[in-house]
Amino acid sequence: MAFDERDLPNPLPRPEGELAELERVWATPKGWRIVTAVNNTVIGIFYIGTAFFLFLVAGLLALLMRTQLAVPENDFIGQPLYNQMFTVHGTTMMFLFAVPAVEALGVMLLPQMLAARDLPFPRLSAFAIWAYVIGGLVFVSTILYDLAPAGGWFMYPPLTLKEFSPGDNADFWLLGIGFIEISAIAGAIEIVVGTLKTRPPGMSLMRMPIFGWAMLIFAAMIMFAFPAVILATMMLEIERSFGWPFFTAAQGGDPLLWQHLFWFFGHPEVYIIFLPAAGLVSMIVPAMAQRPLIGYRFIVVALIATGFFSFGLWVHHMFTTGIPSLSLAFFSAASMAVAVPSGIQVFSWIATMAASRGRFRITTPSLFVLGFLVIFTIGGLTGVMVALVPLDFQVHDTYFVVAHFHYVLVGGMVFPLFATFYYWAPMVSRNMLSERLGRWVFWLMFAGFNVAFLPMHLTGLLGMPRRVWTYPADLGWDPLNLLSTVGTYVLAAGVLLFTIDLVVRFRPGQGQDNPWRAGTLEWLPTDLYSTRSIPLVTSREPLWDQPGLARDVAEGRYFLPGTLTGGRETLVTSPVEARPQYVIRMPGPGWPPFLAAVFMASFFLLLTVKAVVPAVACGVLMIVFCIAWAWSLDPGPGREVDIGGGIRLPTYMSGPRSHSWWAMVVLMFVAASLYLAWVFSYLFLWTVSPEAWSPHGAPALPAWRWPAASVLLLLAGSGLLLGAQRGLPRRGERAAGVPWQMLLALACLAAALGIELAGHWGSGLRPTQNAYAASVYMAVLLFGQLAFALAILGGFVIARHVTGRLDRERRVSFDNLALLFHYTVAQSLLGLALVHGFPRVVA
Amino acid sequence: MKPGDAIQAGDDRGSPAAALAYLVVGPLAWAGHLLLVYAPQAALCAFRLTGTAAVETSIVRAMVIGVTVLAASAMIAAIAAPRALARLLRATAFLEGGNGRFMIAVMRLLAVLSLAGVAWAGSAALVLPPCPVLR
Amino acid sequence: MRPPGLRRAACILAPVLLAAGCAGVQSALEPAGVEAVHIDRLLRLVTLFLALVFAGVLVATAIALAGPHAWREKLASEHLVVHAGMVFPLVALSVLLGYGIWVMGQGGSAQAGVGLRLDEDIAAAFEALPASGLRIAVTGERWWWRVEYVTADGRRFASANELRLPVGEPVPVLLASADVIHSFWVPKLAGKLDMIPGRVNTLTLEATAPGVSRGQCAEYCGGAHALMSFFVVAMPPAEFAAWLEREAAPAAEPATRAATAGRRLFMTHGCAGCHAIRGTVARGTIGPDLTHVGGRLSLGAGVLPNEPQAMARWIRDTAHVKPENLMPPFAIFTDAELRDLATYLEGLE
Repeated sequence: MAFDERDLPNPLPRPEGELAELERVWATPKGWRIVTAVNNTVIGIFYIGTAFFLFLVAGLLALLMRTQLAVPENDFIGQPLYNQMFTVHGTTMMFLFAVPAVEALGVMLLPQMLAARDLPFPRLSAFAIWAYVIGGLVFVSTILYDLAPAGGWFMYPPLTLKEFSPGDNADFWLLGIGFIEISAIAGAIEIVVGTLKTRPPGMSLMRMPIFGWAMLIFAAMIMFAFPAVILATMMLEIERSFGWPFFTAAQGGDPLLWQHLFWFFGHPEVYIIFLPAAGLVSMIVPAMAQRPLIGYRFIVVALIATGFFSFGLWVHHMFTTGIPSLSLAFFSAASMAVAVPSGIQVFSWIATMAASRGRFRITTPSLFVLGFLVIFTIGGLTGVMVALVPLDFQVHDTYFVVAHFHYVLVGGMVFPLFATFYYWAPMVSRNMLSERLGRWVFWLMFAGFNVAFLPMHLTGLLGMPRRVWTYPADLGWDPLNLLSTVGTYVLAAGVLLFTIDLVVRFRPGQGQDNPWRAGTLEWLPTDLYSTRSIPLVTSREPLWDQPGLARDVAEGRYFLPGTLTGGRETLVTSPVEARPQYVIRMPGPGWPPFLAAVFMASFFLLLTVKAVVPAVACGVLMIVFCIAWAWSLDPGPGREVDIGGGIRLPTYMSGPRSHSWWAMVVLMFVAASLYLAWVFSYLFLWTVSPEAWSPHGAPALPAWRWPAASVLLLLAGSGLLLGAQRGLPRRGERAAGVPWQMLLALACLAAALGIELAGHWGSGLRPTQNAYAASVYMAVLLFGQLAFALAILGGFVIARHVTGRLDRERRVSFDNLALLFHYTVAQSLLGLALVHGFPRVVA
Repeated sequence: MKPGDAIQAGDDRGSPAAALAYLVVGPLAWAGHLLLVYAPQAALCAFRLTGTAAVETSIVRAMVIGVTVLAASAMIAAIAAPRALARLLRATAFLEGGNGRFMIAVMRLLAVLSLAGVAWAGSAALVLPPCPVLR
Repeated sequence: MRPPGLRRAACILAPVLLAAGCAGVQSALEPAGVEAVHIDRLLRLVTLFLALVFAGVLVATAIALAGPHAWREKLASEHLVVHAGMVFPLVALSVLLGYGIWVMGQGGSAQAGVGLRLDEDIAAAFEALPASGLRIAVTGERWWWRVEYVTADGRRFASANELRLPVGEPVPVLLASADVIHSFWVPKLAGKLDMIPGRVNTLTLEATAPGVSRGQCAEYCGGAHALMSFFVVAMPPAEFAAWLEREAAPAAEPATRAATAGRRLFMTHGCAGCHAIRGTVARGTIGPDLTHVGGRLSLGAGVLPNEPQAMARWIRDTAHVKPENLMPPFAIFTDAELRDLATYLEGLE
């Protein structure tokens, strides 16, 4: 569809001062106030910068470890330090580099690709990023003072229980993971809502850039994978600190419970890292080929299929635990199924390269993409090998597997990341990175990587296990290990050269317009406010198919060319077809997210070193700043605005169209996954030690009237809240009953919690008794956790009403309370049925 | 035509949840299949409720085959009758216009891949005994 | 054990050639056990097939980048994605998966299901095995291997850090853990199987030829995980039977004056609190049984060669030989005393 000048939504010339106003509203804070910035391109650089720094640190650890392994019986690094080093290397690379790095790319690139002015929750991003920066840096620093964990990145109990890991070291692991869990969930909310609700008009799902699909699936996977590890880490820390025996076999627990939960997260994790990288490759290849991607829908299929299937192969990591062979076969089958989508993607990229206009351009990004293709294919094929159960019996936990997953992860994520650095640097930097040095960087990294890791396949088959700080001479491993060490140094030289180039040439600022002549929206001319106006999209590669788009967008002739409400804003569209729905008024820079992150970090850190009182003080301050941050949100209905083309949109929305409602729904999915992980744990432990269950191995359950009272109170709470919803006053008025109804609803919830707790306590059950008791109290804890959040949220909403900020229209905060409240009631009803019903049924 | 006409403000023509469910019907059936073959098999083997291996074998086999046939037929039905599925899920609005072919193709391809996963897992039960570790 | 120079060169020059085999006593590529042989065959076949697939991907990429226009045009369509990316993998993976599952079905099935019997100790697990042949239990400890034999006629005795097997006889090995998770792995004989607290797994080992294999803990178990190895010696049945008789018998009386002095030191300086020597008052069960320690191939779970100087070093300097090792170092002994102790212990064959 072509437009002539008359057709565009907004006429020229644009009013005087419109641009200046836009610039003023989106200005980045100066000096040290930069930490209050929330704009995605600014905090995105902090985010990716920290991730890259941690990559260098973890890489340096790898270099030291390879030095130790260069020759047999080496004593360069001693055993205790080596054990800490590989734990920190793995943990940092997986949790503190890979996931944050791809999330950072999402923060940086997604809004640009979707021509949105920012992500929908800028302060949430800022909070997540600062929590990550502080937590990540503190975690890696523990290696410097012998406080680093030494249980491996997978932290299997019982090795990581207090008995076998007495110091605070393991707690620092749990701390580091806590940060990344929080920032990953925050990022997932941001990205789900961002991809589904802030696309430009006309960009239906089938026109979304592949990176958008990849990030949407990435975020959805985080929603379901991370809760499993959140529950597992909660249980491990509780067992370490308070002795609830989830993982102690002698008390009815089972070390395999950790493995199930950890790998239910850990396997999808690999694809959580890989999918965004694959999405980036699917963006770079068409740009270099100057042709649209061949097999767009196949790639979408591959991404979705990978997202699903990756949840069906966690037992893949437990093939040698002695599980029945038929169970292993089920997971072997799923491991095969997940290989097919990778095949689809690889051949889709090859087909697109073959379709190039002229020849496929060999630039530094394309070299990294080709390197990725080669390395990742090898990793995928060895992945088929480890998916074959009998082969895994031999290669599991050997250097073969070390080689395999480095091929998958370095090939599948680090090479695309470097391609991304070279490709997208001109979008955020005044200079491009050096193409000439880039070739050196690539060949050093590519050669070094293969020299380091290809021999490891053989080292593993020759019998060398993983995680050994030394090995005897003469087992046939010596030359291979030396070769691997040499390769690692070459690889490191490549990374060093890149870092130098980065320091010399990378200068944040306005980049060049479309140096690669790509077709997607991130190459529109941008400034701090992103694009001057938000385009109407009619194709997958708008810059190729919609002539003059860049000029028209930059002149402000498309939608929302200035600020209509005097503040930051972006356009919200419908999730499938991208029809404009309303204009979000977005918050600008501010201290609360930064300070909330600082105090959250302090809270966890102080707790780890058992300084309880200052920790609680920091926790309170964190909540205070979160409330301060939230208080300015939910501005209430404003006037309708004209975004151009005769489209008039509201500037406020509540209910199912609102981005806030969507975010709360995502959060509910996270909470539900967490709870289902608990349900699984409860049932799993029962299959392991039914003899620990009430009434044989534990006191009889409280009489029926106890849970019945809880059920009635929960239902009453929900009813009261529904009543409050009905009774919300008209605009400008107050309803005397509403705060009381809310207060009473919260009281019902607290009473239900109290009764549940008192019932079990009164029956004589104590959480340290056995695994059954621990899992019963865990349900109470999960209920209590939500009740605590609801108490704060409820107090907040009541305060909104008292100060006249809550009514029938201005009600987003109330809607969120209601959603979470009803969810909590539903979750607790399920929990009560299981805890009080199941033992009676099986008894 | 003005762009203002090309794009209307407002909601999608149907429920976004229905559109997403329609796309991933195959993988959802795959996930259900994995849950329904793995969980009972693992639990049964943990308890060895039934005593003899022969009884175990027939129970687990019957269960796995039953669930597999069920899941596979659901997927085949979805592949064969994409429009009927859309009616079932109240997602027909999305099959009209330019999105339709895309939606159907993605749904079908995902169902094909899921079908392979289901068939692979299901056929293992025909070869392997249900509970032994075989080491 | 040192591989010949030529092979060593092959390892340096051609690490890609998995089949070249620079194997030693711990190599999965030189199988000498039934499970390892099955897996080795699967490995070679799958490696070859996947190498061909990889070559195909490389060729396709090369054509896509630099091939003649007509060839490139052929590749540049969704047909490539459908056929090479979807149909081919579906077919190939079906075959590979089928083969893999068939190999799984060949596994030792005599002890069907013992693996998931919970909260049973080793004794009960022994009971569950058919009482007809030799049975062995190995318990992973930090950082050594406790070994128990039960003979066909029901005699039961302890050993440590070494296994002996009769060639050609499938021997069920019960695997358990005393503390954290370990994994029992002898690459030449079979794949690994974990030792998990609260569970007893069973691995059937059947050696196909006489010889020595080296095993090592394959699941990271903290501290000295890297230094937790053992040897498995497969012997012809008759030799094995003779060895078993000797091993089941109590320790030999010291033959020399030095050895007698060594025994006195052993019994009076606390060694007997942790170690047992059958036929003496030493009945400790915290550390390895030393009844026939002199007859083993290594000391300290595969860390040192079994010779008197090494024994002396182990006793005095154990914390350096094997860091974080739970045996306290015995610096109290003089050099002469150490010699006597070593003489005594080395004499326990």
